[in-house]
Amino acid sequence: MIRHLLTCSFSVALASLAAAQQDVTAYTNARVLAGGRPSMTNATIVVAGGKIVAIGTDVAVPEGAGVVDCTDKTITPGLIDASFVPGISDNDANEQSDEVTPHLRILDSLDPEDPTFRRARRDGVTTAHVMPGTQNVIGGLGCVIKTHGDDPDAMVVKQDASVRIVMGSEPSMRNRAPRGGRVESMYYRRPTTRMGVIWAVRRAFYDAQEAMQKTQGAPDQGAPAPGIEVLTRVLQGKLTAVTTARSEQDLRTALRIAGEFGYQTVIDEAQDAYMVADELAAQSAVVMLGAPSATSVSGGGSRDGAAPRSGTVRALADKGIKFVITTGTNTRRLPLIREAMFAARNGLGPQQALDAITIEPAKLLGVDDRIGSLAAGKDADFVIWSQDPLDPAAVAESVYIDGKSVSQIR
Amino acid sequence: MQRITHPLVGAAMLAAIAAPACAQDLLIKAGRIMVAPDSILEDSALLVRDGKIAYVGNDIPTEARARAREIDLGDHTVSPGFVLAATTLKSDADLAEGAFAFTPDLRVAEAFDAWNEHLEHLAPSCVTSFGMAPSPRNVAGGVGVLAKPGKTRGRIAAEDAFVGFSLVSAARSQERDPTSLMGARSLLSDAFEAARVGVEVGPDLAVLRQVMSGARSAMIYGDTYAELNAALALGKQFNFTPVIIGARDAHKVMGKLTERGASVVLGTLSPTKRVAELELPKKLADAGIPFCFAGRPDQLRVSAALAVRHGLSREAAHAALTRTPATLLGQQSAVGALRQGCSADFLVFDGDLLDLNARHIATWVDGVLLCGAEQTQNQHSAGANR
Amino acid sequence: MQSLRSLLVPAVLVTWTLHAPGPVAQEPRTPEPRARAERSRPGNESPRAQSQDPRRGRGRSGGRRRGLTVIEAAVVHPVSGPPIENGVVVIRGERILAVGLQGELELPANTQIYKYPNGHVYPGLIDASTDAFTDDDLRKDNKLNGGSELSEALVWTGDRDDQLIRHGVTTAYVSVRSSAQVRGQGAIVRPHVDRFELWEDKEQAALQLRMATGTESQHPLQRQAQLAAAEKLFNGLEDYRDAKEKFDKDLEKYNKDFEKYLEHHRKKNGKDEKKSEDEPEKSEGKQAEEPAEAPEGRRRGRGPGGRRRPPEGGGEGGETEDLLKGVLETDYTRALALIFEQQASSPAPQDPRGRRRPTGGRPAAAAEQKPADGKPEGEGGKKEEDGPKRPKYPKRPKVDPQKDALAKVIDGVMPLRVEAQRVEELRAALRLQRDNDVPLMVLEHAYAAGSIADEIAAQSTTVVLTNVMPHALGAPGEKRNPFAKFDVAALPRQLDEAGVPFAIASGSARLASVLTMMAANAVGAGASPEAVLRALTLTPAEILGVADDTGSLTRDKFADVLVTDGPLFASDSRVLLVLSKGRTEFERD
Repeated sequence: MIRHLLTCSFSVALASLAAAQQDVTAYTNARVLAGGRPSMTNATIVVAGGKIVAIGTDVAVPEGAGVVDCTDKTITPGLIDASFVPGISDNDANEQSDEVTPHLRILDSLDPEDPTFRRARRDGVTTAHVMPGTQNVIGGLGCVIKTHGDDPDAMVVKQDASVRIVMGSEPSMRNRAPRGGRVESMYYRRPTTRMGVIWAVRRAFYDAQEAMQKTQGAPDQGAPAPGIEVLTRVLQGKLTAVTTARSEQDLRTALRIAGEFGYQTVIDEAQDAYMVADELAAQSAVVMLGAPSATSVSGGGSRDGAAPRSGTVRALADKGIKFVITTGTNTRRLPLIREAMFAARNGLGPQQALDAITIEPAKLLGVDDRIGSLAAGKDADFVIWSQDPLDPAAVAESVYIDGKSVSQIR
Repeated sequence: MQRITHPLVGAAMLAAIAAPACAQDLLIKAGRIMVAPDSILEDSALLVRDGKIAYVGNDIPTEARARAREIDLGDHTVSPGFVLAATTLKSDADLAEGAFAFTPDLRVAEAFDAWNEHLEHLAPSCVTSFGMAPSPRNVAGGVGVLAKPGKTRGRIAAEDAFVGFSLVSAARSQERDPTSLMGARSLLSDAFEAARVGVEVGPDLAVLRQVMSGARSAMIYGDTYAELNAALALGKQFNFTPVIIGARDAHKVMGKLTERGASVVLGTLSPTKRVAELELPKKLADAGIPFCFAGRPDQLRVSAALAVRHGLSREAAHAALTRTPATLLGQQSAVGALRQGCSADFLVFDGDLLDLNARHIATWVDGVLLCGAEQTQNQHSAGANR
Repeated sequence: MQSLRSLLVPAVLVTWTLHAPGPVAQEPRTPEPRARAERSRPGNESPRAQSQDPRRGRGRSGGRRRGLTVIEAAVVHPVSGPPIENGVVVIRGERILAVGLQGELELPANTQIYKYPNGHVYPGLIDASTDAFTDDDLRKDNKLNGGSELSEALVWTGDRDDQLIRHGVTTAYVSVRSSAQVRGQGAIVRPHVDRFELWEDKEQAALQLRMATGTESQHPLQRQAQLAAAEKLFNGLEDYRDAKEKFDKDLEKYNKDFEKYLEHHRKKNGKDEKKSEDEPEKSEGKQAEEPAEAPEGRRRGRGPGGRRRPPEGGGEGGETEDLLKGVLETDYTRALALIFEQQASSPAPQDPRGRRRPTGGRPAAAAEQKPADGKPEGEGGKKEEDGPKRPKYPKRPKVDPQKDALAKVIDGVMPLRVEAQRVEELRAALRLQRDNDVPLMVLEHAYAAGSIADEIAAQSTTVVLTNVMPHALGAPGEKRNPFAKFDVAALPRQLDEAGVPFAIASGSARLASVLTMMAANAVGAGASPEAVLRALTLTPAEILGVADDTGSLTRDKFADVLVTDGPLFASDSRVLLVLSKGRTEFERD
């Protein structure tokens, strides 16, 4: 079907337009918020072979194309959730035998028919960045995956997109200190406190640094431990480190560690970000705000004492800090578009709010060549909303991934 | 070596000119003999010698035919005995080394209890040989065996037949590593990688090297999509073809199963299961993926009958009970068919065993009658209105 | 009979105000469309009369004349006779016209012919025990009692479990296995592709009794306590019936006496005393007696009514009948309106204290209340009269729907279905039958019946077998499962040899698809194929009491037909065609 055309280049797709007329669809008369540019009214999008072929107000509908009239509807790019919690049980999302497991992949535990994906699709989320759980200090590698696909392998947009580091007391909550010298299970280990967590991070990066320096000079002594190799890539800037930190002290610690080892980090959750806005600006860190609409943190990490404020988005925007809006691990999260709606309500401009869930996460995750905005040549991932998406009554009437409709309401 | 303790054998031995060390041959005559699912002989006979099939059908030499003790089964059907591809015979406790998850060099043969009480239920359920697998509670459980029930005690027919691995949730325990699926997968891939590189040595890695070279087959427990994916990816990365036990979500990975040439051992089918699971055997057969029935031994016939009811062809169902599991265990030359040289493990029914109205008459293992009636006298043919 | 009697005036008032049928909603037997039940013939003769007299030609249904339908197949299994090779079944309308050999019959022009050159024709299967069309709440309801009628609680969900008809089941008996001791009265239904219908006047088909505890292993002493509780069910039944009979007799006597009393006074007081006010009261009373009793509430028996309203009859018959017709055929509330109008025009005042005012000898007005202890003398109003005393309204005994149901069981109207698994439970059930003279008893889940088959046969008890699949109760060698040792598949042979009529049923709606596999398994365990086929068709029809209308391919029975593409017991035989009452319900393309 359309699948084989995905691998063709844009020009080939154009050339085969004439041959594959039945794959061409044009969505006309819509208000298009393409992401990264001002809105267009009465615009047309032409989709063929799972990619966007043309977009604009003066685009002609090709011959033989199916036409979908989207009058009074708004089209946005498919939403990208940069911190998505899938329906995997905690046991499978965290490998508890060791607190530092940078080489494990959450992709190995993902089921393409995960019911949370279905819910996400209905809410307009077409791509999710899934990371390992928050119970390990360094959990493992996250991946960027679309929320639907015929072929599970084709759903993966980027396999090793990030490595998750967690600050705070959450990774240490299950460990116990041995009393009287008896060790009854593997959970009698470090770290048992917040300081222990930072110690574990520091030690892992220290080992990675040592390994880097050794191999630079010494002859090859065999492959290093897989975790070390991943952290080496982080230190070299080839892999994004996402640090989950909620409370103010954890945010400062995250920035401090990153500065200490010289890597650029992305801060995840960041409920207390408004308190450390200056430090974030100074280090030009990117922030992934977890469920900014929530007024309290519940679920994992609720003991860290973070106090979210609705003015966070405004504070960050005023300081010029780059941020994206995600749903995150807070159990009080709302669907992603409603999170953006709350952000827009609390001082963020509507375009900025929508960009924070479309093009900004795509840039952050390094997949903006394929998704994140509506432009010729990008994947045809878009959502047709019944009205302006930041309106509370808006419904994602049709959601398309790679040009195929994956969710249809009404 | 089994001795036939029939009272007449002693007399026959004395009377016969045959060498005193051999027990008497058996000549099994029946209206239908299913040598293999695609090879059925009508009104034929088998010659059983020393617990093995010595000759089939027209190949039986006349003097052996004359010397042998005849067992006339009338119009009944003879079928190879069922091979239960993977079971622990409820002795999970002995077959799971709980302290460590990675123990591929442990041997089930050393834990085999020849007087296990569950062995005696195998013959009435038509199971004549089974692969005793290590428990699914270990990520790399150990080396399994092919075993058989017997008149008084069970015995191991082939030691070290296959290696058992497991990725199911039972293998993941919160008390020891691995606690998650990604941890289990990484454990196995690290171990296989170490075995491939060859720097480390040890009996466990030696077993993995045998798997990679194809000397031993690998059977992996896996149910969900992620587990199946991991098993197949391991097979692809380290160049072996896994046999997947369980495979509840097999319909999600049909393409990959075909591509890797993997095979599937299905669990018990019961009428209360979802229709998608009941139609899975037919889908696997259509896709050319070898599969067999396993699970509860007393439900094997019912599983096969249900699969047939939901579209599986009769020949494929017979194969899934006999020849395919033998092949998956690597024992196709010894069990699973009634060819020359195979063990004399056969079942006697008075009709096609896939129809539940066919009565199970007898089970023979290694040429010894384990359960049922030996002969049939005055048997008239099965009614037409069954 | 007693329902309207207990009708309070306030209740009637409320009813009238709310424009709704009152709490004692008496459903008049009008042909109003009911969602679930289907009436086959509007109006005329009662179906019971028809079913008892198959000789009357009823090929015409409702006046519509259908052509013939003919099924030709390789083998026809009528069950009431030997199989017929190259047979044919001729159907006219709802009923079978003839069964015979192809070529022997001449067929008229407008005949629809189904040809199945390799097909086997069977009667529609009858599932003698299923839980289709019930929901989880009902299945887990442990407050059911003998008065609960399952026919009121059946629902159509349309999911996989309701598709009995696709597997060839044309009639089924629905019951639930809740943990209550008496699990209500099951219903016989006819499933269809998109709905189900209740069998006419078999809505209360049998009473379900649970004598056993099921698979939870319990101490034998606890089981004994359960059996003893079951035996106590019939205690007091005789007294109850006697009390009811006595009440009926007393009521008759009361009516007669009251008539005499009124006559007497009418004669005395002349024509002007024959008020129209008497008529609504009398007609109300008559009204209370004539229509059949309303179906009792599902989850509670009806307690005794409130104030008793004595019907003060004596009016003229003609107006009463008009009013009666009015109630039966027109809106119930409109009839009430009529009553009220007439009552309103009555000048007799109502005395809330229940004493009659001396009104010159006229009989009391509508809401007169009789003292509960029934002093025989009429109070007042008759002081100046001599003559027959005002009779006392008899005391109504407390209504117990469970005892009513048990009375029906004793009378042989309904069978008693008893669930008992172990040998001692079965023996207790048989003892129950003997001691209480229960004419029709059916044993369900009788796993140990094989060992006492002769005792069962001696009492002409029938058995419904479920779980006939191999080792359905548990794997062999399972120590904790007390039922794993029972071999249910061997029971058909044992029961057949002892002469016990048995039916093979699915037990649950999900297993209806493997009903034929269960039967095949029974054959494989040694039963004769004829007995097993009969256990799917004619024997369950007899057990359910519908053998006159279905269960075999016989002339004048309903055309419930199943056609498969191979012998029924083959694992891969598929259903090709299912007819229910002559109508095509399922046809495989």
